[in-house]
Amino acid sequence: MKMKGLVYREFFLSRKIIILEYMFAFIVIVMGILTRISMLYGNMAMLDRETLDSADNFTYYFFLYIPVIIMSCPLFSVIRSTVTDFNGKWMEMQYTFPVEESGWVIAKWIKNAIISVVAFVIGIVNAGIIKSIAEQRLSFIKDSELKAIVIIISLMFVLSCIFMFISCRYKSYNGVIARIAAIAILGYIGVMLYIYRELDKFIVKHSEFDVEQGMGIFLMHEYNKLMNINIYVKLIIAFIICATAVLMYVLTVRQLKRREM
Amino acid sequence: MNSKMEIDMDNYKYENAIEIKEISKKYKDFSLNNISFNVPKGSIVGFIGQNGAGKTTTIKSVLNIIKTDSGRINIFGMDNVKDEKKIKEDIAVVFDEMPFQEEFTPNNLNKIMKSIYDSWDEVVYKGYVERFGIPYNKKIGELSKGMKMKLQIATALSHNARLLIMDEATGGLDPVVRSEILDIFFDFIQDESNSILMSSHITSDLEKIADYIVFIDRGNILLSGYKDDILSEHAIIKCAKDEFVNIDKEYIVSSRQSEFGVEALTDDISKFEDKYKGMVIDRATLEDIMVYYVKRNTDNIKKG
Amino acid sequence: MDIIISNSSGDAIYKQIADQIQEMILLGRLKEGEALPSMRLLAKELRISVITTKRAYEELESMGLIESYTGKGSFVKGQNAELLKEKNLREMEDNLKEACEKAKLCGVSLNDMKELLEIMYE
Repeated sequence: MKMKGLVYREFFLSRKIIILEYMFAFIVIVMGILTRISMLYGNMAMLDRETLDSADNFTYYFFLYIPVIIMSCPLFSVIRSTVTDFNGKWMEMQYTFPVEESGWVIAKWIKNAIISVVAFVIGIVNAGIIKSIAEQRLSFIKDSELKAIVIIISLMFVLSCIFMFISCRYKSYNGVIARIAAIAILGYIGVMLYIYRELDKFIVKHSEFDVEQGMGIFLMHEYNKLMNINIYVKLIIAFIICATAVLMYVLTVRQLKRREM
Repeated sequence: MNSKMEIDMDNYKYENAIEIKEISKKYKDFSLNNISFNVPKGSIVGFIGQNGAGKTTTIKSVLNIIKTDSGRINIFGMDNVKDEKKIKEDIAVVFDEMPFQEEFTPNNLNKIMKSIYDSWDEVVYKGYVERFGIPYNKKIGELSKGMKMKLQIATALSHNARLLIMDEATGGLDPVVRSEILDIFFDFIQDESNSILMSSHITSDLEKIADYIVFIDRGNILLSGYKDDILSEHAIIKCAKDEFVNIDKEYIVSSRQSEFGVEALTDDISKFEDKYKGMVIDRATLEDIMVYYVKRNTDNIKKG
Repeated sequence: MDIIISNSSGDAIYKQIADQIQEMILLGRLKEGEALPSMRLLAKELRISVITTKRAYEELESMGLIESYTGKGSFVKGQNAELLKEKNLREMEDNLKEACEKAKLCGVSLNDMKELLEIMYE
């Protein structure tokens, strides 16, 4: 397995950011657990019904998903590592190794895969702890929260693959960040337009709620919509995500084979 | 057992470690024009030329780091593109800059290279690192330039490579370190199946160690052959301006006129000495040869 | 065995090596059948190109002084050393004879010749 040394190298180069993010995530997880305990048995249990309810909702999802997002951040260190590999002499040396071009790509993918799996496992454990505090059972297949964790991690993974390809193609921070920003802005505009449209429809239908309540219910509404999409649509989306990942892999390896040094 | 030996024998049946056959590569303001030369097995070839003359482009073509527009390159008798992975097990490349990032230590390097090369020998590597006086757990960023280069060489010599390619690797090093590195190369070449291709513009090193010299300028090979012959056939002649006028320019590569006389390079000193007696003749160094040939090429290009 | 080469003397390096080894053989310092250092080792120790040492050995071989076997190395050849010594002596005598005749033609006396010889021998 020629990749072993390269994977080791990837982890070694990203060790600082991995440790930082995991420490950060750990702190958030601990905070989440303490908050849950406080809400059920501690100080926060003494709040009034209304505040407790909205706090409950918010903190539940926040402390469930945020650690997962934090732990997925090291995935994006591929951008930096790719650009520095190309700008220094590393890629030239890489080309002198008896390793296929795909080896370099796969090493980064393996590192990201490992990070994703670890984020997933810790995310599940965190979910398990939070749910058991609230005396709910953790059921992997049925639990929509766990599915959401899987979706978040997969999306981050695929996104990092896309960014890695962009970094290979444009090889300089300016070029890469410009294109990522373009994608981010387009994505942001898309999401904002969608929310705008749905919010409009919602307000028309449910004009009786006040702002705070309304927002909360609107978000729950959207969330449930998301979780209950038709199974076929879900499969298609899953397929698109996998296909994108594969496409990125193929494009990245092809880019390396072009030998534009 | 027998068939493995046969395969090993086959691996060693080539005559030239590298055969470059008429490669060309066009860039916007530079091109390699039909470059051909060989690196015979067991020899050291010094590849000289100015910065930007095409040395690095040629070496990158040999290593398939860039693709050539035309021509073929054979390494160990095999095509450098088709059998690329097999060939690269036995090639070691040393660059002008340390490719590993600053935070790695020689220890880390060992772990990385171990799985990349089939014949990586940890014991040999540690031996070289120790011999070069590099602390095994010190970060690359804290090493001096000379030590970084020696670490690269240690890495290069630790996987039984049969071909060592150096691209301007000794550029920024002091004479003492360079001398030590030359000794290491002399050791390397003791095994007849090992070859070295060394590009450098520090011609004094190549004068000592090279068997052959290949001289490239602006994408063309101006001179190539045995180093001994090149050095013995060329010489610097110095004479008065009016004497120079009478010299048959067939013997002169190019000349340099000053207020007080003329200095010129001849490429056939024995014929020159027979014909023109009594002029001051000095040994030509590779550096002189380089300068005068480049001058001739420049003059020719200007003439159009 | 000591071999000393000069970068500034007019002679090609391979010739200097061949001459010095030839001298050692003719003077008996290298015996018949004795192994010479490998071409590569010699190149390494003298810090010169292998092509140079190879040429030196080829020259010695063409003079019949040594024999080279691939894989084994180069060895001093016995009988011809004596013959070559005699050949060199004869050549020297012929050259001296010619020098004397030329000297007489130019009117150089014997004493002058002796002085010149002393200077040249060094």
